[in-house]
Amino acid sequence: MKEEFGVLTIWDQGNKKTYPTYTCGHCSNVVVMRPDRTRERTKCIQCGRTICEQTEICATHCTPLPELARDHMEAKGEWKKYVPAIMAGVDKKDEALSMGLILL
Amino acid sequence: MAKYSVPFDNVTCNTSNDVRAALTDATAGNAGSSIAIYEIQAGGLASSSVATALKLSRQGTLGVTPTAVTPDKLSNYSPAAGFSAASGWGTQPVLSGNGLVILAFNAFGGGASWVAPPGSECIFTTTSAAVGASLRPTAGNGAISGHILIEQL
Repeated sequence: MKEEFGVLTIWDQGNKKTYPTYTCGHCSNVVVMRPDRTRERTKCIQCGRTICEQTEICATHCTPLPELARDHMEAKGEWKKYVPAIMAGVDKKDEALSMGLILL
Repeated sequence: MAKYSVPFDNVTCNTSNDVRAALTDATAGNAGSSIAIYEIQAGGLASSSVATALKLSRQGTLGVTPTAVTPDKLSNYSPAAGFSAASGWGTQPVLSGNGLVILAFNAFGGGASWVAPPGSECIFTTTSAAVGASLRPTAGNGAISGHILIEQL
């Protein structure tokens, strides 16, 4: 799967700057890419998408949101287990479990 | 799938209120309702410098009693949107997490936009209850105009 970069543009009184972004393949967080970063971005070994490294759920469980959404959530339960938690903005598994936001 | 615009024009920023919001329609047995936000653009209309930041967030607790606005079809041949949009709420939603996108700019002669390529949109999807997206200022009190572009999946 080929990933493309998004573009963040900021303009101010005639000056314009653009920055590349990518969207986390698990939670849809948009990450602005620093030009001076040398460490490689983390990719999910299951879905192959670049992930945001910001939340525990993203880092530990593959939830391929774009594919699930385009498939109208027809996929098996394991893939969409954490969708309600992600949609509620919950970052941690324990918190999601205590709030009843994990599909069993 | 069909694409829609949710514009906002000359809206005065208030950090307690959404500028615009969108909700998937999963309340009528429409399981699997999904939307993908692929562009947000905002420009300032202020007459003096105002640091302004707009954040796209998920709604941890959905807003109540929306002031509905009709999403504009980008193609005349598209059906009416299967999701709803709001310009205000009786009770504002409680936003969660760190937000998905933040646009920061000076509302005096400045603006910002974010555009995602196909496959890298911000996804809002559900199997049962509706889920919501909110664009809300985290800073600033000037007037802004802009739009949110949404694909219905």
